[in-house]
Amino acid sequence: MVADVSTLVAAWIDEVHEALRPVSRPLSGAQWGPVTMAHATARPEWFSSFDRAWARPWQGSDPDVSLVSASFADLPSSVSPPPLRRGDLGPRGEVVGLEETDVRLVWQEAAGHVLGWDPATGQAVLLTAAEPSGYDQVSPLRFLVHWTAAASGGFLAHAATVGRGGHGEEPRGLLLLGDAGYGKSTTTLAALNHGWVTCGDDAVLVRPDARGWAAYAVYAAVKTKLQPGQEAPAGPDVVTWDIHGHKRAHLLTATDDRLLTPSMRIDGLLALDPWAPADRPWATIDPAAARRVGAPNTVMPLPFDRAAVLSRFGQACSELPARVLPRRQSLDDTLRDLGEIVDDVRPRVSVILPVYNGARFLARTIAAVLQQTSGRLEIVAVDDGSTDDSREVLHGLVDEARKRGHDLRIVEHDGNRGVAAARNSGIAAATSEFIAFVDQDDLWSVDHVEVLLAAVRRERAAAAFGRMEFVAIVPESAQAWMRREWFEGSHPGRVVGAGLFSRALFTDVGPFDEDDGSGTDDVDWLMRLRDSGQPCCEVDDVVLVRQMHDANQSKTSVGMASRLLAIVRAHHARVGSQARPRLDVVIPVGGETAYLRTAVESALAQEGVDVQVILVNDGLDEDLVAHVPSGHIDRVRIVEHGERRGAGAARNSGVAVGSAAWVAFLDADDAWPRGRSRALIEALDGIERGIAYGRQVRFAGAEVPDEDQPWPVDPSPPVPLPGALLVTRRAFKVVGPFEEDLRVGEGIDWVERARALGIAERAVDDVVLLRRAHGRNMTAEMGESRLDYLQVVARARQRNRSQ
Amino acid sequence: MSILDKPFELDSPSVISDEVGGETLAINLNTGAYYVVPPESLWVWRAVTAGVPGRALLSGEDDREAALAQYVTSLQEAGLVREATMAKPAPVDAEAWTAADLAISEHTDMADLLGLDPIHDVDEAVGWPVRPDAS
Repeated sequence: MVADVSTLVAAWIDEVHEALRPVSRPLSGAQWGPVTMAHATARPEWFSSFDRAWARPWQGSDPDVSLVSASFADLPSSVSPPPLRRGDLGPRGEVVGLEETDVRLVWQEAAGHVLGWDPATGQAVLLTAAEPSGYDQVSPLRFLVHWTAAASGGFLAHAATVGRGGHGEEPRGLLLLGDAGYGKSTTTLAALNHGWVTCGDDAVLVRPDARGWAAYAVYAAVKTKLQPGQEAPAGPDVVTWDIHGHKRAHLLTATDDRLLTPSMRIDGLLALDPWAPADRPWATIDPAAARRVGAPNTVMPLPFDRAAVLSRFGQACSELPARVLPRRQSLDDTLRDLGEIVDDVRPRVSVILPVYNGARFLARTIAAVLQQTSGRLEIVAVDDGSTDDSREVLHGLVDEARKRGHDLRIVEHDGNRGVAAARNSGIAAATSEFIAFVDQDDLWSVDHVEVLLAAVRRERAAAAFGRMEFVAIVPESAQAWMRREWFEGSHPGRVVGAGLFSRALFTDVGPFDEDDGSGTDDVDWLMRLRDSGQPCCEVDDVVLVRQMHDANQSKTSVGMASRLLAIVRAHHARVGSQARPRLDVVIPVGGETAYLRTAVESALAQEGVDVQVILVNDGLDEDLVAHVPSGHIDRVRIVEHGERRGAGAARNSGVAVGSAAWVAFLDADDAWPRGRSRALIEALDGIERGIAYGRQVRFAGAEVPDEDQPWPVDPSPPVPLPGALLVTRRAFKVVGPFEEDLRVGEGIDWVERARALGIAERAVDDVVLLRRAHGRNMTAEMGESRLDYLQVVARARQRNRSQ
Repeated sequence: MSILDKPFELDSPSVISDEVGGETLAINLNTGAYYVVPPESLWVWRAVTAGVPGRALLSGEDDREAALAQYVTSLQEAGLVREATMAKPAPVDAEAWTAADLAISEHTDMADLLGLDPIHDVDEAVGWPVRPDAS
């Protein structure tokens, strides 16, 4: 039936388009992001005002969208109305049944217009009963932009953008989030008056690509309240007029790239908060908070594609750093904060550059690093006892790095300790969240950091690798050992110089092996990385050029072979022991410890998995080692909180210290059946971001008489309680930590958030939790904290409303 | 001429092999595949890669002949051995082996790391040296 509706609507769009096109004349087309649109109209006197509303006028052949606009009266009598009844329309005039198809049609009777689009033919039609006026002049065809934006993999955001750049250089900046009246336009205008640029206010197309996130200009307008001091900068590109006596619209043109730029790379999200005290500093907010703040007002209430838009907005929130900025007393203060925030959200990357007698390469290698399109870089050059003038060359480049907004730090080894030691010294001195490597004779692509960082964020990976190319910088006669195929096309970058790594990896995987003096330390480290099971991803872009010169050496050379064999042997031994998945079991201990030993034993006894138990002592004055079965202390880790912070905080601390790909939670008074972890892991086979859970059975300790056991003894249906859950670490990263302000219900809240983010969910029939009932964990004893359940429900409702 | 009558040798330098940590490994650096030689067939592996024709490892009407021919063929197909010019005699310290022992397991999970050969920075003049104490 769905197909029938879309077929009928598509045929109607085609019929109207065919009927009107011969009597229409071309207006200005437009482009938003990757979408191009040609516009012809049968009513130039009504619709030519659209021409100046577009930020990016477009003329060309073969548009993605061919729009024809007209009055209903222009339709020939042979054309029927849309083949719909009133009952076929939803609250926004959208045709019910089209959501699952590509065809789009809205019939808004009150507003007197019909807008339809069939992406299969590219045809779009806009019919109105009267001449568009007022706001329609600056925001025409929002629905069409929204639909095509969604079809292009992005979304139309109710947001503003401010950034630096332009004038030929691709600008980078922030996406400003906030309700109408929160100050998006005011902030934008203030920034424009101080040399910043925007790529749109009110409505911008936001879209992910291989380099991260970008915003694209749609409309030429910036709107403000009619107040002095909130004017656009004067200039030939600015047209200002008042709307209904209370708003003022400024039209900027994109043609000179001076105020309004066609696009902007988005480095972060900025939530404007007019309610916070004006002197409160700007602050970091987590992805869930950004989503809460942004979703209701950032995602425009437009018909169709709601789920895709919400999901992409959630993706943006989880991949981009977010800050919140209270409304300031003065625009100067706002601008100062904006400057700080733009700087703060630039991703920090430490670039480790081991140097040994590399003077002749260094200037070029460092120049390629400093040309990066993204990131604030800290180059840590480690001179490993060079005997040439490498150190002088490095010191001479410090100012150049600073001028370009980066840092060059130099670490000096007294003697020559080898490349592995140099890399380790660099990592130890590095201060950034991300680590990259460049060898003294390698060259990075200009977007090395940008594409790898985007991949790490997009894939929630611990490392990302790009591809590499080889060039020979010696005559052919000196290339006897080089193979022709190295120089043909690009190759997967299996060297540290083609990767970007989260700093935490060097704790998990360990340092480079300094005993390896043969130059294969990176092969060993990369193999250990792979064997660790940490999530890594790859991109197709070439990020590294390796210069082959006469000083390079083949792996077949003397001294290398035995080292390579040892690396293979170590890997083979690790793989043999790693057929079993690794599971971190987090047990928060905040009260009862009478049953803790049973809980720990049941976790350690899990079959088919390598378990690490993480006990989090949430403020108890007690040494939890006493509860660890003898002989198992090496499989148990204890985290001390010092003071009581609650179960949510304790679980978060436990997850933070672990590194296994799988995570589960067990309460200190409960226990698990032996096969539960394996069953839940198998249910999530092949799923990177997922949660699984099963049934629970209640049981009573000996101190509870049978007659006082009111609970059912049969297994419950599968229930996503924390103790019945198993989650992938990647899912936990996406959903974020447990809310720490909830005394109870934080597990329900977490699962609700996972559901809102579309995390995969699997229920198994097995009993996965033995829940102890005893005199102290009856619901009635929870008292006041039960009220937190209301909080959980309220937050879930708020999230749902925003969808 | 049967494959059992030909002498073979390790296809070095693109193939490297040694006993490491009690296990005999071989790496084909052209493909990046590595091979684990099980202890049961180690004697045969050593003999074949040292230039002893397969025939010299058999005795008369030997029901292990087909298995040995298959084994040598698989080593050749894996690029681990090439034909040698000089045949060597069988070692005197013969060890017992059966047809079922003849196996070599191939692993390609490191191929991308090992297969693309060049490494960097190894010369005293313009880059990292091989440390004198590294062998």
